[in-house]
Amino acid sequence: MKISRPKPPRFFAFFRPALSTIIALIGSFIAGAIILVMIGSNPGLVYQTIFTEAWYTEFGLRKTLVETTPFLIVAAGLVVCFRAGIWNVGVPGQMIIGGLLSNVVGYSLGPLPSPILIPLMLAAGTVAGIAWVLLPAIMKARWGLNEIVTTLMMNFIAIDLQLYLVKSPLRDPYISTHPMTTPVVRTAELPDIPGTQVHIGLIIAIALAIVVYFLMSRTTYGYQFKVIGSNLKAARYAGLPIGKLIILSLLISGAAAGLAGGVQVAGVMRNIDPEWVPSYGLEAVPLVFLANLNALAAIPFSFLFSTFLVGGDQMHRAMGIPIFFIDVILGLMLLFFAAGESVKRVKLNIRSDRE
Amino acid sequence: MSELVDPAVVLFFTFLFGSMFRSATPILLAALGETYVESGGVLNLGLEGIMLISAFTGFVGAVMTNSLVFGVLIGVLTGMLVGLIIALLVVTLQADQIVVGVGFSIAAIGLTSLAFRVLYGTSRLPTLPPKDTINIVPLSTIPIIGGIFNQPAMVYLGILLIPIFYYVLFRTSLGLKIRTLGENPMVADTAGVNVFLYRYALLLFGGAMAGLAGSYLSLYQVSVFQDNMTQGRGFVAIAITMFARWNPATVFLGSLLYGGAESLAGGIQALGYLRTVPAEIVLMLPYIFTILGLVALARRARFPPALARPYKREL
Repeated sequence: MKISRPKPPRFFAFFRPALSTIIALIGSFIAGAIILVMIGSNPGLVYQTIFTEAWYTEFGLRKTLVETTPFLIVAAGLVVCFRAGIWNVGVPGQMIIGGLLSNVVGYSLGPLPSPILIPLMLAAGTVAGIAWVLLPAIMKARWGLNEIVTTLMMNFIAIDLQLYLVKSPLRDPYISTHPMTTPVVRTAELPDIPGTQVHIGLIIAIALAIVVYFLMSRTTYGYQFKVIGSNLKAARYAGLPIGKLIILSLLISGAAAGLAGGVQVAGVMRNIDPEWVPSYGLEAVPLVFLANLNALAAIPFSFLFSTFLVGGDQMHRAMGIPIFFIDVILGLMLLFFAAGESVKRVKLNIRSDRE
Repeated sequence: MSELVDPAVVLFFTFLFGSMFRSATPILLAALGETYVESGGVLNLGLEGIMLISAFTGFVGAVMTNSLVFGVLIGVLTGMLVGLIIALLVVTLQADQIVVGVGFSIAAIGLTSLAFRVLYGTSRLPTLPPKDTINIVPLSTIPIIGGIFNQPAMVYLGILLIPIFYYVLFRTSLGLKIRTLGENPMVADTAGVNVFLYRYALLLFGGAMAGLAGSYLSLYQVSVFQDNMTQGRGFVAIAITMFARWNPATVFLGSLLYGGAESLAGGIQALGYLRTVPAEIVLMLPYIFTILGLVALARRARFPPALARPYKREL
């Protein structure tokens, strides 16, 4: 006998995969509004300031596009390891080390022409990012040591290492006011996309997101990552090389993080402050979940998250609301997303009970 | 005796022994609570967030009531409140425990730093009432190690809790029930243990312990609230419960290892000892020790099989 399944209305079916994301966005915005009222601000005005500044001013829009780049590069890498069920929360550390190494390459190999120097710099950042995640990756694959703990510890080690390196061996002797590394040479800077004032890192980031999308949806590796992420037992029965896949997924996300560090140095910062702690790493976690672990969807969400960052800066300067408000919103997004996933599941269960 | 040894060395070790128990205490308290939560099959990665929120509310509470004890109490209550929210998400809504934990860690950094600025942004920081230490008189006069016996009350409390936690978890029927929840919640359910209720209670309890740890950190160890002041201590506590293999006695050793590393770093900095070693390198020690501890002890750890899996009754 054929059991007919009641079809959900088409409208709902279309939005179903995005349900948690919608819940996360609406929930965090409402919760954020409540917090704003509690601290005596006007939520409508604050949200308006954030979006107006980031989208409708020339300076703001340019900045939003520039800031989209690190978010997207980091997110593309995280899609791979989150799909594989692996948590790399060490992105800030990997970005720092990646940034430092490409900074060193960008001034020590200064005489090289741009078309050689820039790829070398970015490659150095990528390699450094891989190196910084290698230990946690091996420890996870070999001994099952929790990668959340180990990658997080590596962040603190990277922060202290950066503090030491920038204050002593890498300090630029010609900058006397404040310890900074030597800036990369002018030819090492990323050129702008023709006709804009946005550096080409954005194109690199979008290309990377497309590559990751095809990796995940069209290749065996992508399929294997998804299998170990969704059903480890099945993966074991199927004889998948689980250890290798775990290491590979972490190395890919570490490589992306290191590349993001390199792009920030080559495209924006030129040299490194000892206290640089890139916040993209942790903020990209809610981003990737809101994008439903889909690299293409990460493109608009990276733009949205960059909007919060850039608009939040203006909110801070113009309205005096501490920038930390943005972190509250992003953290709450992840919590509402988790709750939304449960709501989705409950709905499914109800339907299957009825049959 | 002391003429034979470099006085700087004596000073260094006196500092080390006096300070390592103080540095170990927040980790110990949080990890003891997490040991119970994880034994019951819930991975509370929100530990870092709870500690940070309680560090903040504890500080605010102590300033408002002008009493450290009330501050700690408020810290514990907020810890329980956050534990309740986490329980609602991961037990009732069966949300992913890792996503929720990471979400709380991010939100907590934002919330506390935001509220701190709203409350004290423009004014001068309020000062806390003075701290009391309990001085165990004959023992605290012993040279070098005497500092161990002159600590805030919470340090002794943490140490006193260890045998109690061990006894309850491994020698009582309550402990057996908790461990069954982590082994096989369906078995526990069949035996009449209300899995949902117990996991709620465990998360509330773990929240209270993390609240104790957080408020100790801001009120007794650092004596002020700072942005993101937990600095990964919640995750260190999680690492320690793992390499202690959910045994309260071993948790103590792990916490001392961390406390020792933190004090070593502080000692080398404060006393200008070992000037050739850069201070920043020394500050990495607690994190390196934590990773080494995991490598050495957690390699073949057998995790509670139900850890991080939401329980639902199959109907």
